[in-house]
Amino acid sequence: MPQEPKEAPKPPNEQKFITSAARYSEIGFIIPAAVILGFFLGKLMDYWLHTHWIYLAGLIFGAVVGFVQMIRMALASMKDK
Amino acid sequence: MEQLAFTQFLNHLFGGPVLGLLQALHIHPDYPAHPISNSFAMEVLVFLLLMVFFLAARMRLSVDSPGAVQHVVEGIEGFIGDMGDELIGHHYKQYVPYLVVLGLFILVGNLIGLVPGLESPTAVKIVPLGCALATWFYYHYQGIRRNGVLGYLKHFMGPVWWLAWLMFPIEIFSHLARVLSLTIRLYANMFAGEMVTLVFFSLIPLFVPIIFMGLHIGVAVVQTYIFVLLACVYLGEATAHEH
Repeated sequence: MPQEPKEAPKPPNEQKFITSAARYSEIGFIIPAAVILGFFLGKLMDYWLHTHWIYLAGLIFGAVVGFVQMIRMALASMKDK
Repeated sequence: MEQLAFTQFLNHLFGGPVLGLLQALHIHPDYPAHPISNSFAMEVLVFLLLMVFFLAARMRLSVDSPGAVQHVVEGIEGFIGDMGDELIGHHYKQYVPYLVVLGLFILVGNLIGLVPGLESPTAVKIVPLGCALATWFYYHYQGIRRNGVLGYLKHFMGPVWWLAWLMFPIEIFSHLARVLSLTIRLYANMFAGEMVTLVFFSLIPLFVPIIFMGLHIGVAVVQTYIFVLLACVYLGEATAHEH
C-alpha cells in the first residue's frame, strides 16, 4: 500500500528564530509604551487630584516598568539558549 | 473629510439611524451629515469579505474532495494551530478560532488599502486599538476562566512572595502597556507604509510605487504575524498553570 507523503516540518531552529524575532520586537515598544502610559495616567491623576507632580512619578514608574520587562525578556531569552 | 464610495453608500443607507444612535448616547460626530467614517466603513467591508469567505468555505466543506477555499482555510488553521501549540501549550485548540479571525481581520484590513478607492482601516489609530483591546480582554478572560480569579492574580505576584508588593503594580502596568504597544506597532507600520507609497506615487507615478507596494504587502503580512504571535504569547502566559 503506497504511503502518503508526509509534510516536511519546518526546521526547529528556523521556526524558533522567527518566533524569537517577533517576540523580542516587543522590547523596542514596551519601554516607550510604558513611559507614555505612565505620563498620561499621571496627567489624569493630576487633573483629578489638582496636583502637578504625579505625571513625573508616572513617567519614572513607566520607565522602571519598561526596563524591568526588558531585563526579564533578556533573562528569558538567555534561559532559552 | 473626503468620503470613499463605500462610505458614501453606507452613509446614504444608515447615516440617519447611526446619527440618531450617537445622539442618544450623547456622542457628537465631527461630521453630522455623514456620521460613518471611512475607517468604520472599511471595517464593515472587511467584515463582509470575511463573512463571504467563511460562508464559501462552509458551503463547500467536503472530506473526499476539498475545494480550493477549504484548502486555504485548512492551511490558515494549521499554521495558527502550530503557532498556538508551540506558544500556548497543548490546550491551544479552544483559542484557535479567535486567533484565526483576529489574524484574517488584521491581514485583510492591512491589504485592503492597496486596492484603489479603498483605505486600510488599520492605518487609523482607533482600529488597531480595538484589536489590541479585544485581545487584552480576551486573554485576561481566558486566564481567569482557566485559573480562577485568585489563581490568575497569583500570576501578577511574581515568583518571590516577599517581592509581591512591588511586582503587583509593575505587572499591572506592564499589562496595560501591552495595549499601547500592540496598537502603536500596528498603527505606525501601516500608516508609514501607506504614506511612503503615497509620497512616491505622487513623486514618480510609474513603476517606483510598485516597489513600495511590494514592501507594503511584506509589512502587512509581518505585522499580522507579529500581532497574532504576541496574542499567542499573552494567552500562553495567562492560561499557564502555576506550580
